[in-house]
Amino acid sequence: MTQYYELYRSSSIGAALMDSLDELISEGLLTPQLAMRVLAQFDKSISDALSNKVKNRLTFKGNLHTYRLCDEVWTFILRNPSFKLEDEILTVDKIKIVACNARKPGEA
Amino acid sequence: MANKTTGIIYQHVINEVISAIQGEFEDHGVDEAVLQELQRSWEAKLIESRVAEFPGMIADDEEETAAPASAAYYEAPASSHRASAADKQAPVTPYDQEYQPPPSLPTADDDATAAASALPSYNPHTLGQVMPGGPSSAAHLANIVSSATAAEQQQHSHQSQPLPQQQQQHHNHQPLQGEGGFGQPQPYYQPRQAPGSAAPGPSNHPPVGGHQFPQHDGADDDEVDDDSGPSTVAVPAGHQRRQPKPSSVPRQRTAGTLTLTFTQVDGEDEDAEEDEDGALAAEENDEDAINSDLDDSDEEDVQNEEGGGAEDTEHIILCQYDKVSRQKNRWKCVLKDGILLIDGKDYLFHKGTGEFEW
Repeated sequence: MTQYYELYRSSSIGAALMDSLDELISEGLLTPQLAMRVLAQFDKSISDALSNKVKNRLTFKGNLHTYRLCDEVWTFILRNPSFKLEDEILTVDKIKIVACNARKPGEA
Repeated sequence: MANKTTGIIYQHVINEVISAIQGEFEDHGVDEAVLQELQRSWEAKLIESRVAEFPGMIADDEEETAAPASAAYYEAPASSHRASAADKQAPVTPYDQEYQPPPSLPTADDDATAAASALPSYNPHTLGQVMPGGPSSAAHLANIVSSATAAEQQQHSHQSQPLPQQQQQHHNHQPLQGEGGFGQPQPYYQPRQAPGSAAPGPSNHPPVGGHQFPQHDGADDDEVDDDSGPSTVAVPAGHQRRQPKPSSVPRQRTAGTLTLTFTQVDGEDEDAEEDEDGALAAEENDEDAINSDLDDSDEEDVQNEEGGGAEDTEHIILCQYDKVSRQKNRWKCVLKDGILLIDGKDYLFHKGTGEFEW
């Protein structure tokens, strides 16, 4: 079985799901075990959607302030990056990038 | 606008997760109403976060209650919020079919009273599966959930029992607390009494469930989230020591984050102390301080890396990398399948390339 990253759970949609699950668990309507199954399904669905449904291309530049590679996860902190996404240009003062290896540990 | 596709994708993901997990809910004997509530709550939270425009979703709870009657559905969460009803109706009609408000459910969890009155209607079925150990009368089970959702409003007969019996029960029920309220109802009421009678404080909330992790590696990091003073005095080992606890420590965060319950096997149970004797709150704080020292160092690291960490608005990309390369101080990276959160908006990308200098 293909493994999916749990990385996206910390995104807005993942956090919203975890909050909702937490509430249902608190109310005694859901077991933590089942909630974990929901999250695992979310990992799969969001990963599939990003790789199959999303077509957008992003390019960005910036000054690299910090870089780190730990356990196959890259973390970058960029200063004054500018992003170009579908003719939209976005600039912020700083951004953090957390990137897992696209080639997953189980794969060749 | 790129942000618009985000909402469509998110809606797709929600629908896929909900439909894919439906079978598991049935296997676990969980009522489908719970699944519908999950979807409703998930969508509501996502809309509330305003990270994207959600066609077919309703902007907030206030509108949601009005929606079935007025058909005031949204096409965009923020911009059309104050638009006139006539403006809304034209583009919105198709979404009527997409969104079906759960008919018999409480509209929002922020309305505890409504939840309490509505829940028992489907609880006997649900909880009959989940709580096999409890006294099995349906009315009793319904009361459990009612008291969970509208704690202070319920004047259940169990809760008005005299205190001595409760303290006696403490010794009996502790190993069951880790069940998260699914095993036996008594612990469910029990700590609720404690805040009123013995120990005020949010960490005294009942063990109403949550994710449970055995913890073998030291004090509970989660303590930091409890409200506690910044004192740094350690509690001497053995001071107020309880029996080594096979039970888990019930703990509930109130801020809507995941509830975590840890089983601590390497020391005294400061939370159990508090459960039994609220006068020990000072020592509880001391315990907290030890933990927060450890955590603070981590937080400082992060803050240093991020250059002070003064701003709260965090822009972040969550993605996967295909390749990261460097020549001298010039870096190139090829990213894929990412979620970009900038200025409170989510953007999705399939491929991303970045070049930057260190």
